[in-house]
Amino acid sequence: MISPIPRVLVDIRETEIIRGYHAIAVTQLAVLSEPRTKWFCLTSGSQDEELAFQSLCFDTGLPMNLVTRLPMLRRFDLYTLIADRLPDDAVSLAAMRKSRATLAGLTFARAGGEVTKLVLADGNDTMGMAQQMLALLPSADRDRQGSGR
Amino acid sequence: MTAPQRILVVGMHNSPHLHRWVDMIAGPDVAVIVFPGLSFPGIRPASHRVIRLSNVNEGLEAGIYVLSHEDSRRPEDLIADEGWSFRPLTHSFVDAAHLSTSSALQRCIDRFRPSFLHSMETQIAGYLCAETARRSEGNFPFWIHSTWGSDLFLFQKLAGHPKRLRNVFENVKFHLADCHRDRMLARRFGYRGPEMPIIPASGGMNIGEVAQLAGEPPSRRKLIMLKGYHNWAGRALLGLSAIELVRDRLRDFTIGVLTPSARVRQWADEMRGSGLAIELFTYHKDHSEALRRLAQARLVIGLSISDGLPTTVLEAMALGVFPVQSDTGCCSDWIQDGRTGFIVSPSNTREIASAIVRAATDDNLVDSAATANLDAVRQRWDIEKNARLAWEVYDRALASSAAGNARSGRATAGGQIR
Repeated sequence: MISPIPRVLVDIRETEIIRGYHAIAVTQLAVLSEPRTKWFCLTSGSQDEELAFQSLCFDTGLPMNLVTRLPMLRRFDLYTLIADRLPDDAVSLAAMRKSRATLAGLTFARAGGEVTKLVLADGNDTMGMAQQMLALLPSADRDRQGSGR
Repeated sequence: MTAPQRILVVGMHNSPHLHRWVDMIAGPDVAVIVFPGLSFPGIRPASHRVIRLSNVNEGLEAGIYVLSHEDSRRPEDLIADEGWSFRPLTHSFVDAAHLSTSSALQRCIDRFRPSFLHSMETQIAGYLCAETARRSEGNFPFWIHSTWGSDLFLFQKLAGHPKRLRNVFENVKFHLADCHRDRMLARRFGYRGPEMPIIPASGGMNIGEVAQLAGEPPSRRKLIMLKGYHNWAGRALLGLSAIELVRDRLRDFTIGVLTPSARVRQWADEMRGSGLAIELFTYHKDHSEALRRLAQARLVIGLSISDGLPTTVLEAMALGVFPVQSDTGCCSDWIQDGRTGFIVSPSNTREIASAIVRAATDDNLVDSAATANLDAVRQRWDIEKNARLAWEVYDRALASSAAGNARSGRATAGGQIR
């Protein structure tokens, strides 16, 4: 079944290696070019992440969804994260599996893990990441078969 | 002899901004009590004396007093809170169990009978005063409120806060903003009082003394400073990312990170390991030493998702340090973007990187900005000028307060109007 609205999962967890605030910055830059997208922000539940999320929603004026766990049945067109190195925690791996593609911006390490449909990017370049994010989103004109939804 | 004016300041008693302001407005005919917004011991200047509630009265001699934190919250106050259906709301990083209580503030007001009350900062002091005013049934002192930093710009965006902000600004008589942005936001939340002068939250400095600490012209300096906060609002790691993007063009410079958060330290270590000259500067207790250190910088970068008017920027302007600041603060009141500083999006590391390279390589830009910026802080951040402005506001408050008391038949609080 073809969904008219792309779904993007943004990892906003600010942890030892995941740079959620960078991902929010990327989303802020991308979101105005892609208002029809449905955005899901994955949080660890910290108050500071929630504050950053609320600020993002206010600034963009777009409804977004804050999720503390991955929905069982829902799949995503794109999972975006920025990290110091590619994370291998259970939540990140599950998010990759649930997504048609993963855009991972790495700030230091360049080597990737064993993940299919993974696009690696420079996590320091938020505008470059935003442009890649938009390029990876399925457009209405493109063949949407195999998006997994 | 005339009895001193009685000013009740409500705020974070450990804040250097509050200390500077109170020192600025103190005088031989003024008794100031600082009511601590948080109920724990705080660092204070030696000239600020701790006072117990039992010693607070209308006849206090002139001076600066800090009410003991032990008198700003009592266990039985929480029962009163329940009776008023009060639920605390404040910063995410403040433990609600440390908030001072409305009952304690009311006890202090009853004993001191201030000429007026001045709250500084909103989410601790402003909310506390709004709740106390709600319970006081019209007997709350004349209320001046200063907004700081992110009080309005950020908290208007957060669930639960807009209602509390309205509770504050619908009751405040005078609002003191430290930038034009916050003046407009206060009106949006119900402020109906007169337009007040814009005065930085920190009051002012002796600009001549500060400027003397600036050594060589900024074009000869080889240090790039980055504010190291990475937390609920600070975004230092995005600054380091920007530096990483242009590291090859900054080979002749040392990067200095001011008071780095834990993760910022880790990143700095990683970047140093890959060949970047990067130093960490921890908090300096001695303010003049901190200024000397800042004076060695050619530019200073400050990034956050929300800010007011950072004191570091004003200090930088006095010291010839070129500011690169996020567009989420109040710096556009002070900086002409592209001429005396750069205003950048904290989300766009490419834009930040371009600004850093330009400030690091354009000697004419930073040297001419230094002259213009020093002039700006001389005009608007001078302690004597701003003390006069603050007292003009206070005199208006005293006049309004006296007129209001006369209309309502209450005895005029305080002594003779200055």
